[in-house]
Amino acid sequence: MVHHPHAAASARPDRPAAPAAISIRAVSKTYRTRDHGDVAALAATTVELGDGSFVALVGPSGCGKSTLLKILAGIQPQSEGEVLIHGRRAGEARGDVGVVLQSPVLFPWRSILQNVMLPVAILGLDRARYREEAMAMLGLVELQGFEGRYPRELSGGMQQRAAIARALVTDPRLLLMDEPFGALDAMTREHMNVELQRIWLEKRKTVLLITHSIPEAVFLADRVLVMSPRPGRILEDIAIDLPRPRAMSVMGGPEFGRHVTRIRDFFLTEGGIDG
Amino acid sequence: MTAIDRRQDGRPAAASPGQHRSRASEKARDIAVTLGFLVLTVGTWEVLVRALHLPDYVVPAPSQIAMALKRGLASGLYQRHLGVTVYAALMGFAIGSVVGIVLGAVIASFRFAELIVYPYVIMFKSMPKVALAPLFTLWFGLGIASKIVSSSILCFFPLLVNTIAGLRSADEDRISLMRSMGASKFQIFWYLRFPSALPYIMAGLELAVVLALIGTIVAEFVGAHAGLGTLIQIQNANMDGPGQFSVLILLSVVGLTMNVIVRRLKKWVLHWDVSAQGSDPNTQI
Ligand SMILES: Nc1ncnc2c1ncn2[C@@H]1O[C@H](COP(=O)(O)OP(=O)(O)OP(=O)(O)O)[C@@H](O)[C@H]1O
Ligand SMILES: [Mg+2]
Repeated sequence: MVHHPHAAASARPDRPAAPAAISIRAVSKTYRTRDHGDVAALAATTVELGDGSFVALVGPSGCGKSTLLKILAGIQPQSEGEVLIHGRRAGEARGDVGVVLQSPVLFPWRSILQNVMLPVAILGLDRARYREEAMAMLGLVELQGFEGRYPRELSGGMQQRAAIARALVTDPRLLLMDEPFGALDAMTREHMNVELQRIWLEKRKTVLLITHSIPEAVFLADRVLVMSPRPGRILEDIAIDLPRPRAMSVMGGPEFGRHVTRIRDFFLTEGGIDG
Repeated sequence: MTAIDRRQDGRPAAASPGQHRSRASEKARDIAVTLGFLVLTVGTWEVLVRALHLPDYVVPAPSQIAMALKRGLASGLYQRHLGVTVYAALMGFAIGSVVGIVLGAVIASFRFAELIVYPYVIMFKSMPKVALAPLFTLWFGLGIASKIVSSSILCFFPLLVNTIAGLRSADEDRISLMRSMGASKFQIFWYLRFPSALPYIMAGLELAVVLALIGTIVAEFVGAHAGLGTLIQIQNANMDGPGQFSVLILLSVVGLTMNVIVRRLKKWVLHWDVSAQGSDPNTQI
């Protein structure tokens, strides 16, 4: 097992060096609040994500995971540092980033198809052409036949799958997911994990997945980044070399258990409570 | 309240022919109860007025009211005044609502506009606007203009306030998501803020449609050449009790019709909003 003590930005010896899709250089965030003064949410963080890699980010609650994701998504600016997404700054990478949040965040007045088509409308792309793409994405998340329904007519898991289809419709190279399955029951969640792996194997996007579930991170990711409590920084960068496609049964295997235990130990020694 | 709401008898929901029949008969019974009570009330009223020999300029009998309504409609007098009032109310409703929505959108979108306009809004909002009617008559005369101004002022405020609140109600996560898609400020308005405001705007319209009629009638009371409000004043001066009551009936029919139209519109516009679909009790003044 190759061990990288501090946020490896260097080329990894255990795999062919993929070109960095995302490079995060000394990025930090301090929220300026009226009532509580300055809140240091994210300490200077440097990390690179290889093109087409699946990276999971775990860490105690409130350590700055969502903050980092929002910076990458261009939702809010960093306080310091630089983010490059395929060579472009965060926020300028229009249409190159798909985002899935903890709740589906669908628009109730739009049908499922119209929801999936929202990024197409916003980017001013050819609707007729992308309509086919949207239908294909709905097929990919197994929602064919539901395109004319409204969000309220779908279950939570179905809504979340629609949200994934929406994130994929413009074929962005980077997929950012913030606890996308956190609100689902355990059974649906396991099913969604298998589905997500299938979609990823088919599409080979660069994925950054934030999760509170260590088994979920190990099951899905090539790399698990472990963050420290607030202000967050990356403590560990763990390669997961389990062969793919991974079946649910790998969770019972000894190697899987070793990874989970190792990551959990970080939480215990660093005082995080989750996991 | 539909028949389904009252199914608390524990029977399975599967529809059987027998159940259809019992639901239909339940409905017939409901209508019979409502109508029966109406007939009873009107009948008692008729009998009491005749027995007590009440003068018709104080409380007319239902039969007298019906006669007055028939006479007014047959001569075409009521239709003429009705047309004037409804036209003024609808114009006031349309103008006041549109201006309220547009100005609300401007105030919610541009901080500068909020800073210069909102203090006046706050000031005028709590003022009983009907008190302005005499001024409008003075400024705009006894024609249709002062009525339209009066009713549009009343309609303006609920739309302005609700539009601002509605545009600001847009969900934070949805805004974030749109930003991540690279949406412009205008796109966030068009695809998110405006649809989010629609339930508020429709609620504002429901209020405004009632206020539109109030604004028009008040302006007609203050002084106008024609309109149902004017007609009521003339009848009142002539001690024409049945006439006044018959016009009141006409007014409530107009009010009810306008209300139903707006509610239909609301259900259609908010077809995606479950909370807008219920047959809500009409608790407005
Ligand atoms: N808009 C904000 N203003 C002020 N402080 C904020 C804001 N957003 C987040 N914070 C603070 O920044 C810190 C990190 O928040 P963040 O949402 O990134 O945590 P997280 O790692 O995603 O936590 P969780 O796992 O519970 O979702 C927290 O202490 C939080 O209180
Ligand atoms: Mg979070």
